[in-house]
Amino acid sequence: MTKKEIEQILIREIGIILGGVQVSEDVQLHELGLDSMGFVELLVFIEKKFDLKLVDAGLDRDHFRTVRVLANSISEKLC
Amino acid sequence: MRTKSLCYLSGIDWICYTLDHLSKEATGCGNISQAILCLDRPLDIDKIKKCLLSFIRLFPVVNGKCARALNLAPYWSYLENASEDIPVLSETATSDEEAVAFLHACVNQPFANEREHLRFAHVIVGAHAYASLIFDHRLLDARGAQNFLQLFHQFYCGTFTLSEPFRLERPSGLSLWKEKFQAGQRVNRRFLELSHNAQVRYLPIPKELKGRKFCFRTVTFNRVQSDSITELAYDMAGYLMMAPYFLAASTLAFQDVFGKRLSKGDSFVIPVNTDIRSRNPGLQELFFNHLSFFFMRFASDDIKPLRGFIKQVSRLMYDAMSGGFAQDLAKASLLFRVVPRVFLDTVHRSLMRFRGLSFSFSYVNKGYDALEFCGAQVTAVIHTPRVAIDPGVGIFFTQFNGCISLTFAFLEDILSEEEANLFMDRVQTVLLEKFKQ
Repeated sequence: MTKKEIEQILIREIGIILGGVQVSEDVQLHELGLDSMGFVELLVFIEKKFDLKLVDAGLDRDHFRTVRVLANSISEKLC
Repeated sequence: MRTKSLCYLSGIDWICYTLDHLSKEATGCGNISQAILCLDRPLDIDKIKKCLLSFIRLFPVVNGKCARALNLAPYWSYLENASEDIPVLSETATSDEEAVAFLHACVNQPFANEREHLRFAHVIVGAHAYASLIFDHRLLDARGAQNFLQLFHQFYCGTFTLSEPFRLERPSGLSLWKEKFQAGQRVNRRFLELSHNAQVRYLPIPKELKGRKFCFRTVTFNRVQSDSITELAYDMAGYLMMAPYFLAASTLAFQDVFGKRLSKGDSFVIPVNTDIRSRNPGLQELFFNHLSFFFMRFASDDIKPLRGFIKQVSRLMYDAMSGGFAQDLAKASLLFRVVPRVFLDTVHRSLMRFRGLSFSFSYVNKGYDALEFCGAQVTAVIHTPRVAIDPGVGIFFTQFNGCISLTFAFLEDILSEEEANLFMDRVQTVLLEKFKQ
């Protein structure tokens, strides 16, 4: 799966979590209004969709800054 | 002609009904809460009263009462076309302290009868004012109350109308028993796990509770402080941010201030409220309770250092949320709605399984988001809820326009005024302090 495809999947899911908000690759996730519950939803989605275990993977705020950065992190873990 | 309508209560509504009943039995006043809007100028109260009456007529559900159907499921019964007014309390205070005391008294005043569930209050202090909605937690939850105020503001401004009469529709929830039973099993297992060898630390509840009121301490952080708290939360709690940070800071301050007074034990058990509304909640999710709970248990020894504790809270919160405990509890609670009210206390206690809870916790961040209310600028949004008698203490956070508000609610005499002030000082310090590893 390419980074672009991962980005599109994340954009779609975050849009759903936020109730139809337009999401772009470089917007800060917390500025979109993604709260604790929203982040957990996103994390659970990523774990299921990409078969990854992220909660213990040492990811910090920088990995969740934007869709693009998050897609990069996922892509690296998938390799 | 008046038509009677009914709307079945959810399992969580029934838990709130239970808590209301227990609170009334113990103190004489139910599970009442209040959403306060701090305003930069007074409202036109005559216009508000007139407008409020027209607005309430759109939602006769607010004058309903609880009853039980032949299938034993509890329901909310109300008359369509009802035109009962809601009381509007208007006051002029000479200082903010006097205004706040008036508002705190409002939430400790029982409703006049079984069909009254809302009151509106307006207090003028010089050039500014407070507007509040005092609400029965059986009718609205905290976010619902904020949304209700927002809808009223839109109605006042002429931007909200209903094209057809509003009717609440909800199924009885008396199907899919196996699924609910399995959810109940998971909830039960989790409670057993949480209560295993748990010696919970809590503030002893006074023996005689009749007539005891709830007291509140509130603070609203300014934009700079709120940004600083957000940055610290983001830094220390990572992507889970605010809720774990607030909970960890509150627990640390709670232990620091009340440590010597708490019951002997090794754990803190904290019920955490979580919103379970759909992603785009409409009017059907305005009324009643669309929240659930999960319970977190921490060893007292794990609370310091804070950075490590925040990581633990984040992990536990992730497990609780991703494990679906709150959803399971909402499903499972549909099962015990059929229990007669006389057994409510027993059911509540057996559900909890704990000897005492440390404090209640919630964080509401998707409530009122208009910058104005009926012609005045909103400067802050604060909640003052009466807490369930067990634990009798609650710590609540809310956020409006980038500013964080904190409320510490406690049963009269469970702690002293000095202790309450100490706690507020400590929690503010912890929230704003940059802790090194």
